[in-house]
Amino acid sequence: MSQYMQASEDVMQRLRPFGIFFEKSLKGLIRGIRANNDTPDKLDEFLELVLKECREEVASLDMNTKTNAVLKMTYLEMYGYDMSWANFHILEVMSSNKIQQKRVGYLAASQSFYKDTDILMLATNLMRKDLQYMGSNDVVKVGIALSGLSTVITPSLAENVCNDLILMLNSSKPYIRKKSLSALYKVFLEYPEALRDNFDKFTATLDNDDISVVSASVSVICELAKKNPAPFISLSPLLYEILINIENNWIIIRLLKLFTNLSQYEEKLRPKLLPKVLELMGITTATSVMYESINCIVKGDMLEVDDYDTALECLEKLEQFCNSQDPNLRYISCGLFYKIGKINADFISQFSKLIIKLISDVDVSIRSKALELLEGIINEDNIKKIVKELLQQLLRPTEMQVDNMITLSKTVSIIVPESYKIKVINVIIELCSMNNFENIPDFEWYSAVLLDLAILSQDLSDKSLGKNIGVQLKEMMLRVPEMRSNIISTVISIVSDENMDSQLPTILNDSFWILGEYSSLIQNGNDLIGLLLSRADKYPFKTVPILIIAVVKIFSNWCNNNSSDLDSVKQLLEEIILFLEKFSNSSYFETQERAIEILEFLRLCHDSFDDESTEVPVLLSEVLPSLFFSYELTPIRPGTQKKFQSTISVDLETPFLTEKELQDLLNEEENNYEYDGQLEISDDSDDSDVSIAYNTIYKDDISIAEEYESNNNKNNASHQFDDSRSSNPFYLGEEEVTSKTKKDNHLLDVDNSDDNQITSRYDIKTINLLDDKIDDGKKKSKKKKHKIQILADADLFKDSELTESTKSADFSNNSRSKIKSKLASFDFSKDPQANQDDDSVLEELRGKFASQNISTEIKTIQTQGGDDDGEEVIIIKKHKKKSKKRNKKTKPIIEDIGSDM
Amino acid sequence: MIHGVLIFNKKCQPRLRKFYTPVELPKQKLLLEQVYSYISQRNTELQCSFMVAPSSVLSDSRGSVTDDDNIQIIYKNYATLYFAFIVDEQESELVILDLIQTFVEALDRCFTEVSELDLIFNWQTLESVLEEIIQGGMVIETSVAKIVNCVDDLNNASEESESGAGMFGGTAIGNAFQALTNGKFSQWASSQ
Repeated sequence: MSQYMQASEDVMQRLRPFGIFFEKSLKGLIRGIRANNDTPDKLDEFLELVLKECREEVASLDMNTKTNAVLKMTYLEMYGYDMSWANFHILEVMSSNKIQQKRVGYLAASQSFYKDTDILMLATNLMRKDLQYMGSNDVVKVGIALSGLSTVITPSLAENVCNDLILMLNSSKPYIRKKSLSALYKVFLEYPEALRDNFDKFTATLDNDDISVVSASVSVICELAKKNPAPFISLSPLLYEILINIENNWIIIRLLKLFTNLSQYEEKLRPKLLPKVLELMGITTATSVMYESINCIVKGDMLEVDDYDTALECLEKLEQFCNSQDPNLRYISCGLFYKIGKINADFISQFSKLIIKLISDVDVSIRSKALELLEGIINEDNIKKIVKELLQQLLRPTEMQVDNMITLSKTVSIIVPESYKIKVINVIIELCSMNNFENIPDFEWYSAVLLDLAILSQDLSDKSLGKNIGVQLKEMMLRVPEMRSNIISTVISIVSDENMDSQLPTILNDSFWILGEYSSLIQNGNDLIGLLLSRADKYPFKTVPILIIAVVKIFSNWCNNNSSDLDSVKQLLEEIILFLEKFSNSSYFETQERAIEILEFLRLCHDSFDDESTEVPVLLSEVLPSLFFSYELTPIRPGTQKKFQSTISVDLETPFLTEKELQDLLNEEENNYEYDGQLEISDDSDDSDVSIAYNTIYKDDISIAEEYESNNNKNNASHQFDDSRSSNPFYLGEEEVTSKTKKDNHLLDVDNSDDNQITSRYDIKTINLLDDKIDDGKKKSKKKKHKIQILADADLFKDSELTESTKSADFSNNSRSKIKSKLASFDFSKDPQANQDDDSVLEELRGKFASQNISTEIKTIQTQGGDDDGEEVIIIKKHKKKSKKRNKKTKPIIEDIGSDM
Repeated sequence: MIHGVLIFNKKCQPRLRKFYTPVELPKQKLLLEQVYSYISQRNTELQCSFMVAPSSVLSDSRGSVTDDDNIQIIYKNYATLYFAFIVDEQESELVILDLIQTFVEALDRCFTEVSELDLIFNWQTLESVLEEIIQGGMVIETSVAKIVNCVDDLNNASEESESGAGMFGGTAIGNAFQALTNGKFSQWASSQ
């Protein structure tokens, strides 16, 4: 190495007739880069200097100097320096007669010409010239030009050179044949007519005595078939034959890819193709061919939903691959497993053992793939085991010790990226919540898992995890009535964990809501309120409005459920008032709004305490609960809320109270009945505000509308309208008496003292993981004793109405407008068949067409002239390059439109 | 099809950056950095050689995203260098791994004891070998012997046409050709 470096040094010296400074060769440049590589700044400085030199050199009249400069700039592009400004110089170098200079020129052109339409037009003639095969030495020249052509093709160039390239397919040199085939791919993409007109000549290359040519031919057909499979279906018999007879694995795999493309398009091929591919799978010894055979069956849609035999055959092979020592094989096989599972989840259900093994693979990227497979194998019986494994992966330190099968159980540390951990948490949630908690064997366990997840999520950067976990808690709360007291204790442990406030605040919204809505299950609400109030300053400001409502709800339940003495009620009320006063000047509008509304009412309550009475004032005992707990919430399908909105008429005209009523109200302060009337107003308005707070959507006029509306039409609809209308809507169901929601028997069986409560929650947190293992058997039997009721979405509208609207929404999200290549939209069957897929393309092209009024005339002449009128084309081109080019571009489009209409 | 080839070392210094689907320069740089940061934290011995491409990195000249479905980056590590191929779903993963091996073996035939240093100083050789394997994103040759022959033919023709005119590239590639005649370097690639 060093010797020959030395030698080239000497040669190099002789090659610098103009001195080292201005004639830095590529090697000099590279050496310079290495010498100045200490700091980025220094390197930049050096490269700027070099570029400055290049700018001078490239303008030189000496071709060597110019070529040298172009070469250096081509190299420097790798460092991010654009060289398109020198395109004209590059073109000069390209047109040099010296092969070496031409090579440099083409290399540079392939990197920098692609977006410069002017230079591409100039290059067209040069390339045509270079493609002319004149003598033996021209093989090289033509080869260079073909390479260049493959990277800088334009529609007009494509049309100009296609006949030359087709002729080259008969060249005596395999080198030229394979290169022109490969270049033809790009030509066909830009100018599909060439493929239509020369289809037979082109496909004849499949039967060639040179293996490289056959390979290139199959490759090109494969790529073309991906874009537009229709014309190649007729080749299938010939392709089968090659598939069975050829021994070159490169080509076999290419053919399998090609068959995948064809089979996706032509259903009739599938039954014929499947046995051939299975046969190939049976006889081949090459792993890669085996894998691609399965891939072809799966991706080519040859595997029917009920074809268990084929599926099993494929899966058993894949199982072998998944157990292989080669991580590459494991990874791709895992991906195929997933695709087979997607076709029919039953196919993979028996491989749960393998999949569980894969989720603890040495390679995290394989684990990550395997996570997606879990969906297919999860059931009531294995979910605990799987979730436990996943949780343990999250718990273990990032650098973990794993037995490695390859190097004889040597231990290696594995870096588990955060993205994987986030994925694990989301997958656990998804698995557990699938099909309305279908797989959950026992909800106590799930509630403990969620608590663990909440704690684990604290260290991760994706804060939406908190929201996801919160939503799960809320869902369970709503849907599994039997579990409410259990879940609420989980929620209490979450809110009593101080780290949550700062590390995972997104979980708090739903937690607060749960605490408020189901506060009847909490016995020592006063302690909980004390805890929440003491932390209020630390909560994120957007959470406070929800907190305010929750606190009032808890208070409402506590002061009525409890035999606690009046003094403590009054005292707590004072604390809450104090707390609200603090927020009544909040700069966050929502908070201020909520605080003031409640504050005023609570002050009234406070004033109404009668020193003589031993009863809680009626404002607290009757009115306050009626604000919140009139109806029990039941789950509804997403979108239901919207439906209701459209059916509701809102009366914005009638005032809350007539003048007279208002006057009466003010005059007769003593009258309890009137009090109630007034308070009912705040009842409804509060209710609606609460729901808006859940959504954190606030629209001023809507809330006013709601207030009026609910005041005037006290019916279900109004409440339903009021409620949340985002992703997790709840509506107020059938009317129920308030007291019904007070399920005294579900009271928390926790000590009254707040301290005890918190510490006991912490205990739960730490022993969770151990718990499920030990309790496994116990809980299972418990489950069998009574079937837990899970509420499904209530049906308020006919299914079809809803699903339709949601479906269409989904669809519009998915539909992406892709700009298709010309080939994809090219109709090879010359008969007029409507191709609806191309509407967007046609629209676009019509637009172009319309904007080109000027060139229309030329165009019509051109189409009359016919396709093969090559000579005429060139003549026109010389005179009117620009308009000609556009004209040609739009020409196939016109034909398209013609045949489609 | 193959959309691009990246060769870079363990310090993220580029050694070759070739794109068959046009990509804007700043994006090329970004892509290299993304690929590097992903690969460099992996254990190449134990982990697989595939990564899903960062989304919408590849765009064609009209600025639209090419079929971004299933763009994969497949890489292999040889000593201090990473060879990364950016491919779409029409390419078989295992075939690309073989192709990288073929590429390296072909390079090995062109240099003695090929090392990063050889590739640094003979970037043009790197380019010309690759050009004989991939043309416009399509694989045109997979046989090492044929690839090397093609490179030689091209160099010889260049030499002839230069006929001692003293071109820089003539030396670089000429050296490679001389090195080729020594022909004792098959060990390196297989030992990696």
